[in-house]
Amino acid sequence: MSAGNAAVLVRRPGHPELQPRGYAQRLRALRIGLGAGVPVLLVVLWQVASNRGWIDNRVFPSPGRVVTEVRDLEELGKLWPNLWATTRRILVGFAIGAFSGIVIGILMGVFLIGRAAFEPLLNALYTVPKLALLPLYLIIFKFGETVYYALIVTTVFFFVWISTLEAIVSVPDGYREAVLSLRQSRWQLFRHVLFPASLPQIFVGLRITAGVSVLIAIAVEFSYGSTGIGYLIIQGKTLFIPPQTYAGIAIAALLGIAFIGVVDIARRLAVPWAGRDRSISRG
Amino acid sequence: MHIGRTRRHAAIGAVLILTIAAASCGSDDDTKSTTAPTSAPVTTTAATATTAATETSEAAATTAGSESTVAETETTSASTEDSTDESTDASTDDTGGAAAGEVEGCGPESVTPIDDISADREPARCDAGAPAPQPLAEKYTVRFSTAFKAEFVAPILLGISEGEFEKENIDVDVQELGFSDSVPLMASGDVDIAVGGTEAALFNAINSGIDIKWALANFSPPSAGDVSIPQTGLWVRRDAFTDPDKPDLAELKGKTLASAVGNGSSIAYPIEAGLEEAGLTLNDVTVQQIPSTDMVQALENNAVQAAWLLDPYWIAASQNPDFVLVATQPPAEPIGGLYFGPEFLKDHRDAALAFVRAYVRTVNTYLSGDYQTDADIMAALSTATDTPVENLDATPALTFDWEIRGGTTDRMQAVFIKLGSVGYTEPIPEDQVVDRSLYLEAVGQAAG
Repeated sequence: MSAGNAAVLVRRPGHPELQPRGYAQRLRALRIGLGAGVPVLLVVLWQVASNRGWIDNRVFPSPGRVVTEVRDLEELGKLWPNLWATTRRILVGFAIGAFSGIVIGILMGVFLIGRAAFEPLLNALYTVPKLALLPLYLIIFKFGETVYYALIVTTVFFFVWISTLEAIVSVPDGYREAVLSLRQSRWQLFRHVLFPASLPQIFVGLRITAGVSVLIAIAVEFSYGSTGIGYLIIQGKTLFIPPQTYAGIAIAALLGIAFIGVVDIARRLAVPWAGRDRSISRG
Repeated sequence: MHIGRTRRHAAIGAVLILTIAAASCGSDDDTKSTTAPTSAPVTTTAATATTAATETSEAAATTAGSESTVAETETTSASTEDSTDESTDASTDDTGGAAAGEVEGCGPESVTPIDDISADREPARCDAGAPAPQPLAEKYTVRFSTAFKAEFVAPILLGISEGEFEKENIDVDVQELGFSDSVPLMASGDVDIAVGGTEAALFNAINSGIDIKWALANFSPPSAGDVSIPQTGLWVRRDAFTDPDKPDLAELKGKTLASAVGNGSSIAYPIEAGLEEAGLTLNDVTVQQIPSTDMVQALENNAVQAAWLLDPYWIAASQNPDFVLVATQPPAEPIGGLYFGPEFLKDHRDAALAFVRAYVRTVNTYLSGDYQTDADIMAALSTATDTPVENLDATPALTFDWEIRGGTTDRMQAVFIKLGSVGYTEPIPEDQVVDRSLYLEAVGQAAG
């Protein structure tokens, strides 16, 4: 900014321009530092609160106690089988639900008739709490492992379907017109423009759905069955073993982070042109 | 442009305000919905519909572990019961406080030998209207939690609707919350009394230093012990046995048993007793967690071969010739009841005693014998439990029994230790779990 009456705005090159590499490194360090530091700080605070008696240890175990509980669960042979059970359910349910959601979303996005016919119905079904379908699925799928898969598939499908449909429909008209002016076929339009242009948003939907699929798997395990991280959590509550409950919660959180991370890696491989997630805005 | 941006901001602001308003006017503490916190734009709410009109104190509700903070009031507060509290029953003795611990209307039948668990034992009783009320000097609100407002908590529900608690100058604030969810609240002093089964959660809580005491037992099923009479109990598929007319429980080895709550429930005790007679233990069967509402289906589908069916689910099973009852609750030995929080007993023993007095008086006055023949009582129960009278009549009248049998907690802990449901190997002594002094004092008997 200049002094006096001059109406000229001066913008001088700053750090981002003069030392781009250093600036990028500092920004990256800041992201990692804060991203890891804030949770660590909260855990430290939790431990301090427990040590000082600000929270009731009998009811809320300390982080240290939670860690020893995880070790105890492993020694008892309860950790890995239950973790695998939940992970398997999430992977299968997510794969099937995401695939069908993408296919249906694309079909409805491309074909107006499909959208007109099914969108209101699917919108209505979307709002049904999926866990309320548990008794129905127990009967349909005869109480097997399929019940878990079915509930996760149902939940994942709706999330992915909506974001895929929106992604296809919101590809700018300019792109379509460009292809049509080159007299390309509908298939060319889809393969070279619509699909790639909508992939970034599809992956945003997949990332959100990854978290939700962990959630729904654990929620089902609360009510039904005797395996899984959800079962460990609810058993800890029912038997009043708070360390087991919180160990289960911590494991579920880590599982969620891991799964979202996997989806994010897949996104970077599939959509390299979309760039890094810009959730921290530049000044 | 300028106007457009303002409108955009106004629209965003309106949406935000509406969302916050909707969220804050949303479900309160008593709903049984599982709300999952998520970064997704839409939250997946799920109503876990495992409510059951149960008789036993097995907490079958699977609420997610969200803490519901009960409003903490020490003095006057509105009771949450909607029935009018005018006491219509004029049969109270107002003589009050007889000499040297004696209580008018409570004679030798008001206490029974605690080690007597014979099937034909009569429960302790006083005359109707006894023990007489002794109102507290200052009104106290008892914060009480139960998983369900069902027939097994009739002494509390009727005590409220018939004004028995009011006569003691007590308000009862009823929260629908399972026992294991109530434990942290009892530790913090936010819940005074919780209803439940004598389950592993109770023993684990006491073991971790929360001094909860079992102060009142609940009931025994009238036909317990007789498997020829259909009732709550372990129902098994006939085809699981080679000779269905003479079921040999040893053949359950390796089979799957459905339980709403699992190896920590109070029903592990009678199931284990039944299996032990056949040389098995619960560790020899696969226990599968299945919601109570779906157990009969699971049996029909052969997803499980055995299930502990509560009221009223056993009715459907009893009408199906493919199922047979092989074990029941123990006769004349209650395995559940009312558990009093440590702060309540320590700081408000007078209120605890008044509560127990009203509870015992309600049993003596309204719930003695076959109360199902009394239309007024059934109408009051129907209103309090929100269940039609016909449904209440479908299951037999309970034998309410406030006394706690000697040795029950030792026997139950032995089972839990064997199953690994508790985090210790030496049973907690009975005097650290049970407190009989309140009901004994209420009926004028010396504490043993």
